[in-house]
Amino acid sequence: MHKFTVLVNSMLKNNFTGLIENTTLGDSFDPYGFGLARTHELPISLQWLYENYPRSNSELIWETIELMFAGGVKGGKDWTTFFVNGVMPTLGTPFIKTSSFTHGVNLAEGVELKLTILRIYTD
Amino acid sequence: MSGQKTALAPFKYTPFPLGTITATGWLQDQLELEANGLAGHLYDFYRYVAGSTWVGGDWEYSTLDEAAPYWFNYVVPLAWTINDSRLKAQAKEFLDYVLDHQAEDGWLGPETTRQTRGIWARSLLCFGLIVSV
Repeated sequence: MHKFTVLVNSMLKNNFTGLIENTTLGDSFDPYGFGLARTHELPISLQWLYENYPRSNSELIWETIELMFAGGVKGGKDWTTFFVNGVMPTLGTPFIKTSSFTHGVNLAEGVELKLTILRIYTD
Repeated sequence: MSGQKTALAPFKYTPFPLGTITATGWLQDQLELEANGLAGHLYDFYRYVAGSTWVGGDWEYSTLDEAAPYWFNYVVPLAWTINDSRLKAQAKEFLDYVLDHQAEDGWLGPETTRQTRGIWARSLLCFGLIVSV
């Protein structure tokens, strides 16, 4: 998992390779931005790694967590802009406007995201 | 998001290790039905699990390469919660294959090009990995 994390760290630093598609380079790993809406999932495991088996990689693991969240925001899936009065829907089907934020699984994930972020930011 | 912490905010409660909380009654019945039924046999025959690109096969339904990881993500908690040795062995076999085939540069999964290497589905692999360690 460490070797993988080191790789992910370098990918994310390289214009968020593997998270934000670069269509000019022919990227096709996430055409609908699902991964972008679920950027906290890897951090959940990275936080476990950080707390339980950091070895000498603590800083890199922490940085990778931050990069995942930063990538999600850069990729246009900033959940903090969704969980806002007036933005978050108060009515369900058929009034719901389909988006990455209202997709059922993504929405459940969005709630989880806030909890994951809380562990590294004071806000 | 404002200030940054210098240490992870601790969990208020320590999660129970997987397998220490077990089911009884109706819930246990349902988990056993799942394990003995379709959910517990996808690894035996279902093309998107048994024949997944994740274990050297040719099948995947999504560019996210999520099929087998989703299976792994549920089979681990199922296997350990009901202490099913058959399912534990399947999970272990899957994980062993994936780890044995880790790429030279550290990538986990069947993808070999930057265009197809999406990070997300690995989070499902990690979910199963961190609780079965």
